[in-house]
Amino acid sequence: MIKMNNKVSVLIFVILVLSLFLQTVLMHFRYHITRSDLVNARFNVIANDLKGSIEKSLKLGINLAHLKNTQRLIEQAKKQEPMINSITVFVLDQNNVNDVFKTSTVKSPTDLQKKIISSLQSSKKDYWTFDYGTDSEYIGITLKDAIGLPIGGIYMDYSSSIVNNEEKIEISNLYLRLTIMILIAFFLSFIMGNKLIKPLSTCLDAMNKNVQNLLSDKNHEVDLSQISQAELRKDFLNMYSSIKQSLESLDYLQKWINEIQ
Amino acid sequence: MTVDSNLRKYFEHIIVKTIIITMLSSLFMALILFNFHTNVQEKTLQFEMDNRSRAVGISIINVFEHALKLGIPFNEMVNVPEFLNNNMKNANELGYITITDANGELIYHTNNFKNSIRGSFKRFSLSVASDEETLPAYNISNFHNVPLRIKTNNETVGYLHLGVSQSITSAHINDVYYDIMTILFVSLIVGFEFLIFLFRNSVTIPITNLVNLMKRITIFDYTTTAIIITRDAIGELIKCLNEFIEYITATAKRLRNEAKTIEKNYPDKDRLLMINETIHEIKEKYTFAKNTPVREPVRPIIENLRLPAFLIILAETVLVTILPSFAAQFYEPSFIVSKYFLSGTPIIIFMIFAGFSIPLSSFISYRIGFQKTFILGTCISMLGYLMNFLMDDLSGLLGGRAIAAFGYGISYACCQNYLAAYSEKDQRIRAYAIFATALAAAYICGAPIGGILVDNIGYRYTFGLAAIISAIALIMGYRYIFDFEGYTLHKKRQTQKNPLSLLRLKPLAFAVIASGFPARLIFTSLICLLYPIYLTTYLGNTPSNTGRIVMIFGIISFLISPLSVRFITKIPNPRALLILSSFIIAGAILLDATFKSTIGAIVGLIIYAIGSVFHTLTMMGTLESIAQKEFANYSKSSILSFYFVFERIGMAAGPTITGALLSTFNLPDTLKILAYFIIILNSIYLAYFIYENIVNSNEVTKVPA
Repeated sequence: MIKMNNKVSVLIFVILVLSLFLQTVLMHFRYHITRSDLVNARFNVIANDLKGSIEKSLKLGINLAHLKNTQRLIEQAKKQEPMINSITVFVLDQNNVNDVFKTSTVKSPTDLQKKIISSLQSSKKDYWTFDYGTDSEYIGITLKDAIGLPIGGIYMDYSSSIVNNEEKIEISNLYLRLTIMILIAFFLSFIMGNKLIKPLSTCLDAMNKNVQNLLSDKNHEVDLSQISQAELRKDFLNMYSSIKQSLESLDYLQKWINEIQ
Repeated sequence: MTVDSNLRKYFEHIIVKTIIITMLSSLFMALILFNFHTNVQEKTLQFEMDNRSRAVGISIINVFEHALKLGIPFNEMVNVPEFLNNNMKNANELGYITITDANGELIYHTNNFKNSIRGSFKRFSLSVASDEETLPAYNISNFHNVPLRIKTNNETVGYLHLGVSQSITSAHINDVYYDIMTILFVSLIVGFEFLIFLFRNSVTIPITNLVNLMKRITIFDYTTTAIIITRDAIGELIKCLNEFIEYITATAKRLRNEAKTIEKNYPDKDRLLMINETIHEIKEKYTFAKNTPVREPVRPIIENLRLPAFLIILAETVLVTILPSFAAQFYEPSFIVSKYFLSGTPIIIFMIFAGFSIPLSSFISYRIGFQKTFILGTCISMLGYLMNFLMDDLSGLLGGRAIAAFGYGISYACCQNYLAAYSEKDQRIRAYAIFATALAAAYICGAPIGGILVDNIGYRYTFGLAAIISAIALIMGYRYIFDFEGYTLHKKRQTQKNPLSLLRLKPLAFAVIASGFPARLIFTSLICLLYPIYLTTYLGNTPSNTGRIVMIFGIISFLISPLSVRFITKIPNPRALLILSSFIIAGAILLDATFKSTIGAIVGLIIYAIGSVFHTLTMMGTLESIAQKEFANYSKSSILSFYFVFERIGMAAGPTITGALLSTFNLPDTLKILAYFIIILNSIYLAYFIYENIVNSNEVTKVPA
């Protein structure tokens, strides 16, 4: 037999944990979006700064590949923000990405190039962001020529693990608190089960015991000590005496029949 | 009977106490997490905003340091204020940018700089250590000031100060607070729904069975045993009492047979008389089953519908507020429809397909039963959500919406039919309030969660989540929606008349067509289409914000539904309330159209929610009484089917008509047209109501004569 107070304790515990878990997961989501929005906003400033400098020359009709100052600018920008892994300035050439200036020597893989083009083309704004690989997040900005047509862009990748390390600390703090809350929930549900439901369970057990004893021994004296509530005791006594009366009536009849037989 | 009331009261008291304390504990723990999380968010937000300001500052300093290297004196540079003003345009959170010399004397500043804070820069330059690389940010007046050092040849020549407007920071922080509060509220509501459900099935229902059994034993009724649901103390006591009933019935039967045998063979008539008298007394006093005691029949527990209904509606409401912005992403200028219309298309398609499947649901329910109908509908809608999850284009979106709508309509109408079939007339308002509360709870949770989920996991995974919620609803439906013997609708269908034949009943026809139909049309138009578009596209709210605002509808409905049941059952003429609530709905829409602001929309939504709850529940409660007087020969299912036909036409027609209106008129004008539509129809109903009352009062005065 499952103890009623234990059952209710488990039930309360499940509900409390469900509610806390839901809250924590949603808060985790909210925290992540707040953080990545702000990190993106910071890198936007750098990207926008570079865009301003480059577009000024483009508007004068200078070809992007001939802007020798650009390499220095992107290296300076990278130095300014240590979280940035690399900065690349590229031109669009018939749906291909041609890197013109870059701070790293690694060639961009084809699938990354495809991702850059799709992000650039689908974005309604000049800025675009995307994830690539397991550890890198990209932020890009479209470069436009003198008549406002996109000719290429700047993209910079930053290690999400650097951002995530700080985030991980906060998230682990959040989950630590969740664990503490779960422990509190465990004790609370245990206390509630014992304080609120145990009297009810004890009362039902006592009723059960009394009825069982009566069925096995018709002369059994009712024990109401475990039934705490006065009115409930009265009600049970009514039912108990009904059972007793019924058993006695049938016993009486049995006695007559036995006597005759 | 005292045993019933005392025992029930005692158990109810304990259960209610346990539920309240559980909810309070949940709230307490949620508030601790809330406090922690808001602190973390605030810290992160401030830290990252400072970093952003520093990034803006560094780009300015680069120019300055370049100029200094070229030998231009620090305090004789030209066009610096213009340069600073231009930089400020790109960072709207900044209130000012200033440059001071190493002693804190102001040299350059942007246009909107307030002289009153000039002194603080001097104090700052005196306090700052010369070797400190990252200077600490601090508050001045209404700004959060981020200082940076301007250096040449490793020597500080001045400071750049960027003032982040605290109102912008606090607006960001408030946005986070609102989201976290919404999350807290949603987690509490979901917890409450599951708590009520689990308590009902594992404690309340077994206790009700026990109380009924004890009541029967007290009055010596041994015809029926009780169902054992749980294996705890309640189950054990029921088992023991069942055994007693079986024992006593078997003993009584055996003794009766023995007595009959003796009667035939025993010559002493006096002694036989004693036995017969005892048997007679037992027969008089006790009630036994003819053979063996029967098991108490399983009765439909309409409350158990609440959780599956909540889940299927939740799966859909999670998507309601995000669909307009999702569809708008696919807009191209070459499209023949406007962006507004395209935003509403998924909802319009949803409502058209749901409109087709809703009448079909009744037809299927009559043939295969409620449980199978619910499972079928939920499976189809799950497929629709999965299609949306897998396909990321406009055709995939619309196709998935159509399939999901078809299934959703079947499940939604199945829930309504289930309640109508298994609730008696006096329970009707309460039964419908169960559905209304499930609907409200789903709107509370779904609408804001949808916005937050999209911001975090994207549209695709939000559709995936809707599919998972549907799967849980499916399991719940399989476990808790039953077709009961003696309640099957197969029999009812034979006696049921064509619902449209009830059009001849003027009081009913007027109530349904002039009041019920427009109210449902407005409901789907406003909640599923107009509010999300109005708040997102017209008033510029984010999906999260829109979700939070639409949640208000759910909160108001959730809170006032149980209270309004009591009110509606007490008032003498509920039809007057029906008319009044329709006018309240129209007023709310006009308010939205007039004020054209988010606050106006919130107030309008609150008023609309009040009107809508009263209208829906009054309609359900009065339908049968409207028709009862003159047309008693119509069954309850005929009357309800008549209403459901028009209700569902209204639900399907709402977004379709509104979508068509949106392609011609702007949003406020569309709102006004809908308000006038409900006012005109309701005025017709009011006129009929007055006419009917006059006719009735004339008839009453004629009778005594």
